[in-house]
Amino acid sequence: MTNLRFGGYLLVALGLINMRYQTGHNSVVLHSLSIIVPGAFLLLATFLQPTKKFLEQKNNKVIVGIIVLLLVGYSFIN
Amino acid sequence: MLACTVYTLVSQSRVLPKYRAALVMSSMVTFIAGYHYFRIFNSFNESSMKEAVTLGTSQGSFNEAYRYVDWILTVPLLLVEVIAVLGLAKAISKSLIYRLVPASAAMIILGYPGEISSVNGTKILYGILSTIPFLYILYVLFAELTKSLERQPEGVAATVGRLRWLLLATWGVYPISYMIPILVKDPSTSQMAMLFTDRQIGYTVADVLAKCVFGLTIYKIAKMKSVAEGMKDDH
Repeated sequence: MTNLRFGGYLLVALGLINMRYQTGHNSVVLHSLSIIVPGAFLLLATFLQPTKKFLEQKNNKVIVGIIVLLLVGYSFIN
Repeated sequence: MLACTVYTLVSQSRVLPKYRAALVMSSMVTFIAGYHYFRIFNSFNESSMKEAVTLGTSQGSFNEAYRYVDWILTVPLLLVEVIAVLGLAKAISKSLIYRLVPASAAMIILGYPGEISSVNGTKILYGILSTIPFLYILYVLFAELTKSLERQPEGVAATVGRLRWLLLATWGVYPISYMIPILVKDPSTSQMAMLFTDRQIGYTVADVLAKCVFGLTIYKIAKMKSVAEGMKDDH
């Protein structure tokens, strides 16, 4: 759970730096918030009991991990 | 920064599980900083034309806000990382986090208006204001690290002792870099360019020292403590 929490924090952090970089560009919302929002949701989900249970299942953990990695990759190319 | 991230990530199996969170935090700090340097390079590239850099907050100009976004996200983690590796009692760790994280946020937020101002008086004022939480953090950390020395296993105490001085030396580079533009009164255009470059170099050196070197010291302490607590040293 701690690693997923760190993953959520990482996405929020990368998204905020990305947003600063995109400021003034078109589609800032689409580009940066697509990293920040999933990160914020993941961070929140690791603190709430029902979503925590969902994230504790191995398959869900793997899927969420892959999504985090894809979004980290996206933060470099957008 | 990114190499340091990879190193601390792959080294996790070399320490006991209770110290792994400190290494993950160290990896995150260096990864976020590495990403920030990737973007700051993009920004520098976009704002440069014919050996001149446009400074400001508008699109296409180089803005120091990048560093402050990076710092506000990584400095609290850096502090939690130190607390995690010390292996203090839960209540003491919590109390330290509640004191140090807001102080680090205050330090960075108060430094930003001075950073972007071109007026020396404003720079000095906000420099002094942000130095107050800066000194408080150094005092609390220095005092806690000193107190924790007696609880550390033999051999580890010396490294924790050195961590105190590393903390003081690396964090001390930031205010020196901040003060660089104030050092020359009424600078010419070429002097301003040089002061800008010097400050960027200063901040970059400080970042590498405070994030990579500090993270590697945290790893060393975690490894030494793991071995002292019975983990087989086979690496």
